[in-house]
Amino acid sequence: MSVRVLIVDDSVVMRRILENALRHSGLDLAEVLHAANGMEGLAALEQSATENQPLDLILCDVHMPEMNGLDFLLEKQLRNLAPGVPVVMITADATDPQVLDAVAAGAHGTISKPFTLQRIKTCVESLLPPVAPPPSAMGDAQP
Amino acid sequence: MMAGPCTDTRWIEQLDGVVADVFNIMLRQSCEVVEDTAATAAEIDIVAKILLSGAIDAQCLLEFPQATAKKLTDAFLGSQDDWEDALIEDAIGELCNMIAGGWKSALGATASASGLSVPAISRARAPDRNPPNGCGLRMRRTYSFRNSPFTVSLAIREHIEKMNQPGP
Repeated sequence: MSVRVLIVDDSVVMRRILENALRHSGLDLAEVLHAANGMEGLAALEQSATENQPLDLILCDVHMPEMNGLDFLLEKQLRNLAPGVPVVMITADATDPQVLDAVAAGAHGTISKPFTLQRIKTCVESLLPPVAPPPSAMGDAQP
Repeated sequence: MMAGPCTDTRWIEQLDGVVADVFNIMLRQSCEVVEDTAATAAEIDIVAKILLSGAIDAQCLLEFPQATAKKLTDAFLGSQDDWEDALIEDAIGELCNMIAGGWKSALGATASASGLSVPAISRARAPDRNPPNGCGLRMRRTYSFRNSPFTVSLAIREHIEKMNQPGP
């Protein structure tokens, strides 16, 4: 299954780290969209809806200028954008009450920074359908 | 109010542990404590600052020479390149975010009602290092990453110091 992912984070470096982690987790990434804050994230969701290019996963930082992760999540739901698409909140502050608020508001998971590649892989695997083996691999397995 | 450098080894070990965790977990690389020298302080090119405010008040300051900042960016992005200054500053800000967040988490429930600011980055030769009023407890530690130094400073308001003092 080829997946489309939106990463919302004000740090370019963290967006690249997360994209690299997704690529190393074995995901077949069709496209990774980047947004620098909640406002840009909402615009990306609207564009995806307009172009009928649904997303499969959203990774969203909590602390961002312009619009933070919690407000992004609430506005996304208010506008009914990307309904049912899992949202994972990324934070360096695991004790931030906004993280609990985001989970209460419908976020599907949280990842604390610093994180390992395995943590990203485990989280993604729990939220996305399992990847079917490619046809060639199935053929190879036959006698 | 307690003024001057912190001598409580528990606070210092807590900070060292947070810094080590960030490098071990995120980069799978080590980061050792080294002696703070005048040469280290003179080499500072980039300063990142995060304020903690609310139930507790504190400031986390990271000071990086350009060479160390470049190595950190290489490590974060998994390759070596002639990175733009903005990307290098972004990497330092992200490290500051993780260290400040980790330190806040280490404080436990006391700190949960406080918020972290987004990192403020400065390249000025004389950046504003002054902590918020009342921050009397101060720690400054120098670390070495890939044989290049950087420093982390914490300034903490007095009432946190009292709350976390060991019992008699």
